[in-house]
Amino acid sequence: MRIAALDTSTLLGSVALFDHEVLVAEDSRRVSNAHGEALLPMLQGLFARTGWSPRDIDRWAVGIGPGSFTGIRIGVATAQGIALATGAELVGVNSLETLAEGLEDTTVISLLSALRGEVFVSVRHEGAVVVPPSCWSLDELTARLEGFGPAVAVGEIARSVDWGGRHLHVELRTEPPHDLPRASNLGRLAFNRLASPWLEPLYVSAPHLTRPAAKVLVR
Amino acid sequence: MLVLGIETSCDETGAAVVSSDGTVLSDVVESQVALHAEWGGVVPELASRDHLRNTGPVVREALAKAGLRLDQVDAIAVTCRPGLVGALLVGVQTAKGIAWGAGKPLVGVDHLVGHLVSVFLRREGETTQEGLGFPYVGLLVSGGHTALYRVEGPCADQIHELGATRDDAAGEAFDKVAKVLGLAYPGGPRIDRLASEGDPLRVKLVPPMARRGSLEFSFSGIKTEVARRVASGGVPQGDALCDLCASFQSAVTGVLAKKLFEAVERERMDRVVLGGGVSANRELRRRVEELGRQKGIATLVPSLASATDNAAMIAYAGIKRLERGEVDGGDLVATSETVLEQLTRKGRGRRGSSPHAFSVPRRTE
Repeated sequence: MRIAALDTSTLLGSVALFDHEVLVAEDSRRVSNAHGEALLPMLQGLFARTGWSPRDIDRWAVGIGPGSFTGIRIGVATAQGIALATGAELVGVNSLETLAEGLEDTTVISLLSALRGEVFVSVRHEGAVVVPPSCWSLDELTARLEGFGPAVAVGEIARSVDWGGRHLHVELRTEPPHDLPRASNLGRLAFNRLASPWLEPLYVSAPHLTRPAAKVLVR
Repeated sequence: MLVLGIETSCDETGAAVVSSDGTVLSDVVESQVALHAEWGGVVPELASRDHLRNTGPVVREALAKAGLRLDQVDAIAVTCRPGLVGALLVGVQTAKGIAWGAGKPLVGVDHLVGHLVSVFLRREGETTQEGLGFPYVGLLVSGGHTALYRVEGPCADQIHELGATRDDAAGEAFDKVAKVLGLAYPGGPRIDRLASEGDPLRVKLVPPMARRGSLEFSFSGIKTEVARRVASGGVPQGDALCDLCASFQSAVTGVLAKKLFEAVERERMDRVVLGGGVSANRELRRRVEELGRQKGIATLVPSLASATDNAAMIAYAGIKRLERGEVDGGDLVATSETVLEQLTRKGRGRRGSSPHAFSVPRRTE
């Protein structure tokens, strides 16, 4: 099975190609908020390098967040468009899980920036998810994780957390591929997943909507 | 040439298949009006989320209704500007994925160009309107745009703005007035219905910027005037409500029609074309048709399905770009600004050669 993986849920644009679980090619770049213009050229570059065509791909593995709402939609929309054209399968992968892929530690805390002083977080303990993907403030994060045993934290935002304040024993693993969700990690997770006909982003936090105050047009 | 068009610039997810002569093989529109109604306007994040859910099914339905497989289509056209960037991105990325996956050319289309050529679409049972051709003066009136253009051809560089609104779009004024009057969103069709039962002479509203010489518009003042009346006298009921709607609609459509024909005179044209959702307004249509008859000017109005947001007009405008050999690449971006040249300065303050022309407007509230 040939898998193409992509993640655009953070400022990192990441694409990778797999042939029977072997990573064939990967390209990851900090594209900030320019995923729209960067993603397809990155894919085209990777396919040109390997000599593959879009029709060679059996399955598209896509980071569905949590992360940047717009970034996630760029990845999901592109993959859905490609799958519509080629008939390939779609598999959505949680970006917090991608971040922790490959680590065997007992407790792993996955973190991604949610902006506005908040983080997306999930915690895996002895192979089970004990904190499902959530959106917390930094204070809430350390308060809620108080009492957790020694843990490994992944995701580069983990460096900005004041772990010592609540005497949390946390070892940071924020070097690649555990800095931001990377397609090479994501693709590995997608081999044994069930495919779905479409992808629904994992937004986690509700959109920031405010009801307009009764606007006074005339005083 | 058969082109698949995709449109997601605001609150309608659309996909359509159109052929080079304007024949609409299919046109699917999934409206989000109900989703946004509770908020009284379009909420960008909700719109983007909904587009993502709908684009795949809408595209599949458009192909199925046209009786075509994707490989039988020659190219993909997509709205890439202007509009809500997050909403546009969903359509643009989907289109790029489809085009690349299927090995088809891709063209980005300006939504306003789509509206201005929508009159060339021929839906089932429709025949080509008599007198259709270039050049013409186009009046684009919708919830997001209100402007007059000299249209010399179907491509962006052949379309020149003659004047646009300085503030609210006409459709926006309809929606806001409807809100002040306690009518449900979207307010345009409701005001149209109430106005048809009212007397426009019983309430005196001054047609905004109706003086000769300028082809620019302003609709925020008349909206405030209605709000002021409601603030002092309460929301009118029964016949009084109909009369106020009739007066408001008469003032707005009167100015639109008057300036359209001023533009025709100035540009020495012999045909006018309407586009955009507000061209569905019955009074506007009647006024334009009447003035056209009086002055011997051909008036061409697209059918309702072509006038409101749809992907068929995007496919058609895309065909016209493709026929010139234009294509876009995988780096096509979605932007909020139109590609058409804009002459009209937005906001208040004096215009022209006055030394105050570019001074910062004073707040007087």
